[in-house]
Amino acid sequence: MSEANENRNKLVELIKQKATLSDVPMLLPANPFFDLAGEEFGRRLLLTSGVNDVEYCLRPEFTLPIATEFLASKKPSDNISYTSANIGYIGKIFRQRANGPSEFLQAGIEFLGQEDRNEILEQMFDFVLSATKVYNIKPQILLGSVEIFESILEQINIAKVWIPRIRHRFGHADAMSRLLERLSDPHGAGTGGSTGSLPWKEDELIGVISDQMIAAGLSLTGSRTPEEIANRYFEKQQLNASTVPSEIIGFLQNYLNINGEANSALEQINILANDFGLDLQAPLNRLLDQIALLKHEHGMSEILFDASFSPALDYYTGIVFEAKREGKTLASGGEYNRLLERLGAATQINATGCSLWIDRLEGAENE
Amino acid sequence: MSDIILAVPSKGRLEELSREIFAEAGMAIERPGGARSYSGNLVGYNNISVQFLPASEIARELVRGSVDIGITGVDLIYETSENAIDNVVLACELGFGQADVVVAIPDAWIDVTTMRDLSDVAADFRNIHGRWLRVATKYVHLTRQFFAQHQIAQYQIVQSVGATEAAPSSGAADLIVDITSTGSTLKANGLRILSDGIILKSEATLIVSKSANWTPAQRMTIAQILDAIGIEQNEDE
Repeated sequence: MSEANENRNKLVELIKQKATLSDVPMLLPANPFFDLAGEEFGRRLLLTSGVNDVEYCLRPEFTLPIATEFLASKKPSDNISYTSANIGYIGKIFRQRANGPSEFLQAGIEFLGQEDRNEILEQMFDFVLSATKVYNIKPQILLGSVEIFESILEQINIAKVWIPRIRHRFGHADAMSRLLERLSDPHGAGTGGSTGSLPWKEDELIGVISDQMIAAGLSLTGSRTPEEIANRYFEKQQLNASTVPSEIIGFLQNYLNINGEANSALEQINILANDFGLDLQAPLNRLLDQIALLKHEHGMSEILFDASFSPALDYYTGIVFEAKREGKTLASGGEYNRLLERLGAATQINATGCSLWIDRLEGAENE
Repeated sequence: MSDIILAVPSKGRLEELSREIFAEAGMAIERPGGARSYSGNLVGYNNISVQFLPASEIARELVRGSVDIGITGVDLIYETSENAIDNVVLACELGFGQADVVVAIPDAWIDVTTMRDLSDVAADFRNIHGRWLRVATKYVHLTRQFFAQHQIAQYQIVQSVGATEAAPSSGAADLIVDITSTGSTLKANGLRILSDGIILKSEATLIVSKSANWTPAQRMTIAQILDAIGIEQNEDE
């Protein structure tokens, strides 16, 4: 047996220790991927269409089909909540790359519906680091925390309307810095719309926009509404410039810039939060516990924390991570308690998972 | 025989003007079978055969290398596939068939004038409306590239084959990416081009395939054509 196969068998054993192996089809409906992840991910799909005009894709990842299958098979009857399941996988995934389509071998585990989040996170890291060990790799661990950022947004004194707008840009570094820049520089914004003489009263402006939309045959409710357009127009004109105080913008910018060795980064966050009167103790402690385990149980020496790091998908909720080596991501994942809700569950359900890029592990082996 | 295949648009103004260009260069294109025939020849050049094809097919065949040289719009080359432009050399813009591929939004979106505004709207859209911002277009590759350049990730493309400009009013999409020469169709549909929303300025262009595997004799023939049209050549191409 070749060494690669031997290592893959070891991986399968590691998965089986913690989960049952799933059997996700290679050919999947494409629309759920577009719905969940948008065009940036959609452009990477290898598409084909059925005679019924339904678009299919070659399996681009495992998390979504496993989560969908979990929901379908574990539908609760009335008051019984979803049962839990740990579902593992190993198999090919297919993505479009700049130089053509490529296939990769991926393995991972989804821990769905488990009560104890900390215990499950430990299990996940244990699996990831046992897997890298198979390949004699001691990776660098990059950590991020969606829950710290969400906790900050909940606690800072800011108009409610801004919370989703800022949250939604977490993980999209450019969009985030543009929004914060615009909010911190009231006079830097451009001017408004195509017409020179717009009325300045909000209800009048809404009337003008509505008329224009009706004249163009646009639905007033199907897409952006007249209110929404008028609001953003006024916001852009900086009539609402005072909604977000500059010290809050400054705080967010400082927070997002924190990046470095994990313990000292968390210490910086602690100081910053104390100065600002925020209580981030609970999410910070969760991270500190995991970092201690990574160091002492798994012997990891290079652990980093980047406050702005998050997958650009809004169903992530807690701690997120990447295991890297020389800039290449070997494994990634974290906590995404909003995923199952997004897919139709009535409430948030705990979900933690990770995926390993086996080709990269094999490439980086023994170096 | 070391034939070179030259592809020319098969009908309308594009065909007329393409034939004029070659005629002025002293290479009259004959279409013996008339408008229904798809093959022709260059008078005096036995080793060049002419194919009359729809412009989008010319683009595809140039990218594949089954046509050696041809006239078509640059937008169609870009739209053939993501890296199609790497498979051809744009030899010469011919001064007709000008049209721009643009990002156009409902004119009523008075708060949106730039791509930066659009990226802001896109980032909030799903949160407000429970779905991605939808862009109707037949220019899937160009749209994806341009939106990525402007760091817009939170949107979804709705593929459209015809009458893209009607997509916002029919509710199929929120905005469009489409080709326009005068902008009048967009205007008539209550749409406005973003101030920095011009993705590509396209025009009819003489294009040489890179995919073709030429013999030295074929290479000479291509050089002859380019020379007659008055194009200076780089020996490396």
